Formats: sequence, structure tokens, C-alpha cells
Amino acid sequence: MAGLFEKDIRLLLRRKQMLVLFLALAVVLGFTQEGTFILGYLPFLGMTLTISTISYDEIDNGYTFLMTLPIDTKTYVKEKYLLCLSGTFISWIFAVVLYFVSKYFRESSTVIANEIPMIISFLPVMVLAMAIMIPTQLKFGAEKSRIVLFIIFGITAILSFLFEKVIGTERINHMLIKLENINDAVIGVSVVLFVILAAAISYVISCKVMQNKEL
Amino acid sequence: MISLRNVVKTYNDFQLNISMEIPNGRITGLVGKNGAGKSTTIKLILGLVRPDSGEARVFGTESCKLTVKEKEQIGVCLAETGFSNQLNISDIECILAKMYPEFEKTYFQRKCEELKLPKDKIIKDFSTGMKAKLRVLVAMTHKGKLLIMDEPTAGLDIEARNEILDMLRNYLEEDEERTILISSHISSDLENLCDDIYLIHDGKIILHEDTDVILDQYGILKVNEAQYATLDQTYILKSQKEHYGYACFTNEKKYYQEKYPDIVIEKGGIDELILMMTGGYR
Repeated sequence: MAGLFEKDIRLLLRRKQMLVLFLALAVVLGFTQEGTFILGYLPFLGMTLTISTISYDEIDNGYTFLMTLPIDTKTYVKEKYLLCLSGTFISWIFAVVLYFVSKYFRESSTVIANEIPMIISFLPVMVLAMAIMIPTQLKFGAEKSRIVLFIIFGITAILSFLFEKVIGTERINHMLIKLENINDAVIGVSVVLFVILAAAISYVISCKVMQNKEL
Repeated sequence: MISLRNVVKTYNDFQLNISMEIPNGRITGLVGKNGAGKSTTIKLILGLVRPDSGEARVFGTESCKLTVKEKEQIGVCLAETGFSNQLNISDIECILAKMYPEFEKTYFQRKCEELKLPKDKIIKDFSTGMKAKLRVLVAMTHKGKLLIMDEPTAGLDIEARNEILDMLRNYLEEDEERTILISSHISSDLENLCDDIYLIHDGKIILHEDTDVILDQYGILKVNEAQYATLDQTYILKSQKEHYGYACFTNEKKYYQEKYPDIVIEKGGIDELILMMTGGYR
């Protein structure tokens, strides 16, 4: 797996100029945009950048050659998840630092403890996005996966809209109030378990996709 | 070392159905026209595609279940694929060092210098010859016991081809237990390198013979209609109608030289073997 990490990190560093540009943009956005935009923007960027290494593997029948190296499909998939999680986490840390620095300059007094649940809530969202994006990209490739993801997120939006129409705004508000009454720790543990389950299912699907790939 | 037993692989309009045995310490050539099934055979051996039936084994292990340790013993050079075009040789050196415990860094660096492969240029900017040399070098730098090369010399000029063939010869000289399977449609490469040849056509092995035997005993008899009518057909493998009469391919050239001293008999090299056995001789 060390060889795969080495390959992917070197491929990412090949895009140094773009990385610097993205980071500069993140700093500018962090200081100019109000609110939590940077906390979603930067980790999502980190995630998509690391997932883009799959595209490099795909070009010019690259998978065929990669699978002749001393690795198996499971190791390959595991490396992609670890790389993506690391990329997302590192960029999230960077985003958190930027968020607090910019907030400090704007508001001079900030209670960090009050913000922690909101800041942490970005991580499970990113992991869920990763759980959808990695198997999709492995199965459909870089080009088709964009269309598939568009369809998936489109269907999700339509279903949410229909859910609101069928159930009614009042009932939804009622449900949200009920949720607010549940203990924070219970919600936290439930979210963590749900995210772990989603990531595990995603990993198993990705392994199956790679094993069934005829190179 | 490699064993394919009644391996069948079917695609939409193509079926591969072959058996092969490649023992240790041999250089085996796999020849055939484009689309004959050479690359599919290699992919089956490497476990990159699964057979519909039959058994493909390498080091006694089913190809699709090769372990990481066993894969470390295999060097692979595939046509038109390799490390990402965005990487340079320094990158590849570091990746190989992490991939293979037996990676020979000094040998790799020395060979890059000898082959004039620039360290800091990305592969995308390499010439066809440089890319081919790099693919072969990557396969040879971790002391693998088995080298599998799919068209390593395709599209190269004679100088680059000779450099690659020299590399392969030197590789074998270092350890006689090493085995090479090389597919090519450039016959002169194989005639000078291989111990034996498998000829594949339309997904089937139609001939397996030692290279020396092909060069010594195979030949083409060029006969007119009258000569053809009286020709002993015992050792004629294939005949083809030509404007002058018939071209008859034999695996007993000397028999016909002695029995029919008047007949024109041409040398039977691998090119002739492919053309005659697959019906394209002119």
C-alpha cells in the first residue's frame, strides 16, 4: 500500500500550481465570506482532489498495469478510502483554523466550545459524500460518474421535495422539534454509527466493483 | 512456471481456447497476427481476466488468486500501458522502491543513464522508444523470476529493439532459473531470443515448436502444378495456391531436399510460419 500512497501523493503534487491556487482561494474566501462556507468548501475540495487520483489510474488502461503490481484489488480500494479520508481531514483542519482566525479578526471574542458541534458536523457529511463518490467513480469512470452523481443528487433533491410536500412543513417542523429534544450524545453516537455503516457498505461495494472489473 | 489447461474465454465475437505449459528457465515466444488472442492469453496468465472455464496457473497458484509475494516475483511489460504519463522517472523510482522489497535502485539508475532516459521529464513527453524502454526496465528491476512482456518492441526502430533484446538477454544470463514469456509479431526478435514458440491463431494454439527446429527443419517448397501432383504430402503442414503453382509448408525440409533436389525450398522462419499457418503467405 505504501507504493500506492507514494504514487498518488506524487500525482497530486504534480498539480502543485492548482493546489496553491485552491489554497489561496480558500484563504481569500475564509476571510471574505461570512459564516461556515469555508468549512464545507475546503474539505470538499480536499476530497475531490484525492478522489481525482482514480482518474489518473483509469487513463490509458492504467488499471491493467496497476493490477500487475504486487497489490490486490482490496489493497487498492483501501488505499483510495484512506487517501480520501486523510485528504478530507487535513483540509478540514486547515478550514477550521482559517474559520477561527477570520472569526477572531471579525468578532474579536469567540467561544470556541459553542462552535465545536457545528464544525464537527461537516465531517460526517464529507464521509457520506465520499461513500457515494468513490464506488461511483470506480464503477463508471471519471466521465460517466459525473452524470451518475448528478442523477443521484438530483433524485435525492426531488425525493426531499416530495417528502416535504407529502408530509407537510408543519409535521416536519414537529419532527425536528422532537429531534432537538433527544440527547446530544445519542444523536452524536447515532450519526457516527450511521456514517461508519455507510462507509463500510461503500467499501464493500467498491471492492466488488474492482474485483468484477475485467482489465 | 506457467500452466494453462483448456482455458476458454469468450468475448462477443471471439473465443480463446488454449493450453500451454511453460517450464522454468525458458524464453517462450507467443506469436500470431493482431487480434489472434496474444494479449488475452497474457491477461489470463496475469489474472487480469478470469477464464470462463479451464485453469490458468502461475507458480502453481491460480492466476486470479496470485498473492502479493508471488506478484513480487513477476515483472510485467504491457503494450501501451504503464505508470501514469504525469509521473517522471524519479517518481517511478520511489514508487518501485516502495512496491518491491528487492528493487535494485542502483541498477535502475544506471540503466536509465545508459538508455538515455531523462530523470525529470514527465513520461508524457517521452518518445515512443523511450516509453517502451522504460516499460521494459520497470519490469526488470526487482529480480523477478518471471517476465511477461506483451509486444515490448512494437513500433520501435531497429536500434531501440536491439537495446531491449540485449536487456532481456542480460537479464537471463544473471539467473538461469528466470523465465520469460514474450509476445510479438516481429519474428526476427523472437528467432534470436526464444527457446520455443507458440503460434496462436483465431484464439487457438495451432503450433508449438522449438525455435531451433523451426529454423532448421521448417521450409517452404515452391512447386508448379505438375510437381505438386506428384509431391509426397506426408510432411506438408499446409499448402497454398500461388501464381506459379503451390507454396507448401513443411516441417521436414531435409527430407524434401534429398527426395526432390530440383524443387526450390526456402528457409522457414517465424514470419513464414505465421503466414503459412494462418493463410496469409504471398
